[in-house]
Amino acid sequence: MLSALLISVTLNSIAEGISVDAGLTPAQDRIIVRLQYRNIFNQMGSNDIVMHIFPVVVAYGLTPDITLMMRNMYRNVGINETMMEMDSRWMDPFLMGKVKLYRHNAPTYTVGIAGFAGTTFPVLNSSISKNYSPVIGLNVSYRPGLWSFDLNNAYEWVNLNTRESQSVAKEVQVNMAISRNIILPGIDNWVLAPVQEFSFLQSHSNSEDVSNKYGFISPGFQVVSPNVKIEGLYQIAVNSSNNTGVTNGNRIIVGLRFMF
Amino acid sequence: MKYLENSFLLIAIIGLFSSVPTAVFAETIEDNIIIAQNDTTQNKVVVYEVFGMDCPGCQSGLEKQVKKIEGVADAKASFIAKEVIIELKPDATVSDEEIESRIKKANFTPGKKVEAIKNEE
Repeated sequence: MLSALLISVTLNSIAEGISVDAGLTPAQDRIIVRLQYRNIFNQMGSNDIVMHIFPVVVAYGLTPDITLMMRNMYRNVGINETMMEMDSRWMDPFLMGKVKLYRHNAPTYTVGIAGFAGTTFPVLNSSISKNYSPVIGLNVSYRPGLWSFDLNNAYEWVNLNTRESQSVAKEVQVNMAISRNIILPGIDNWVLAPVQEFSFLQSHSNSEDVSNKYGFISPGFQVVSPNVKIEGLYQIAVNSSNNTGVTNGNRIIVGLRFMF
Repeated sequence: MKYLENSFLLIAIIGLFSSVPTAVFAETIEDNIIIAQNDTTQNKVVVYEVFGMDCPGCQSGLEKQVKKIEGVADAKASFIAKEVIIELKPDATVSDEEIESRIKKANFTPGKKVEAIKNEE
């Protein structure tokens, strides 16, 4: 049971790592493919856990108001000095729908609010949990001129056992991102955007009655063109010493996004 | 003598730049419109204000929607100018409502029609 919470701690990714348009749903028929690499370094006591995560996200604008998203990630376990069993494998696929709740496009700013709901599906033979992990959340975006302010909130029932209606853990994620577009002189239609993210996460293991609060302060950047976005983020762990015995290390996220 | 040399040099530079295709310098919307007027093969061009774009990614999303309209030859959006330039095929009849509907499908808000230029050729 504790291991499920630990996996949740190490793999949380709904609100983490560079907002995907947050409260603004993309255009109808828009296809977005996001490839990422995340380097995760944790310690359990003096034992190291090093993982390399490769999430793949495909989003599709079904209508201007509804976006469908599928995510799957491959986990490569580099170093595992703990007693927990963790193998390198594809994780359970995650399907999500995002709905536009409000959007106002003014001449000088844009405001958008979107709600989302999704879950993992234990359809792979390699699935360990055999349970679903439902997520609900709310995204808010405010874009005055060249500035961007995005707020992502998510609530996840980690490994919900449908027979007992009881999840192994519950997790709250709050993520705020601030960025500003800088027009690159001499390069048409490309912008550089320094990004600063703040993430707060709280997990609670129902079976062990153990809570865990931690966060990240994450400077990063985006380079945006009409059809490609390059992303980089360095996550500095804050308050990583917690009740689970796991200490979060700093993380690196790099990504490539294609927009069709 | 020195003054004469400088004058010849200046004339040579102006001559060189005037022979470069005009499109090289077509960086602004206004330039594009002027080219549309001068080029005999160019079609009718309409320009709309668009609100809600905040990055180059938004531009391509809007262009994709507008290009789906029957009769649209090309579309260029600019999040900086907050505009989309739409080039219509010859004799194409595209209603304002249709263009505005496509702008809304891209999740943006159409403003006023800035310019409408019809090629007389």
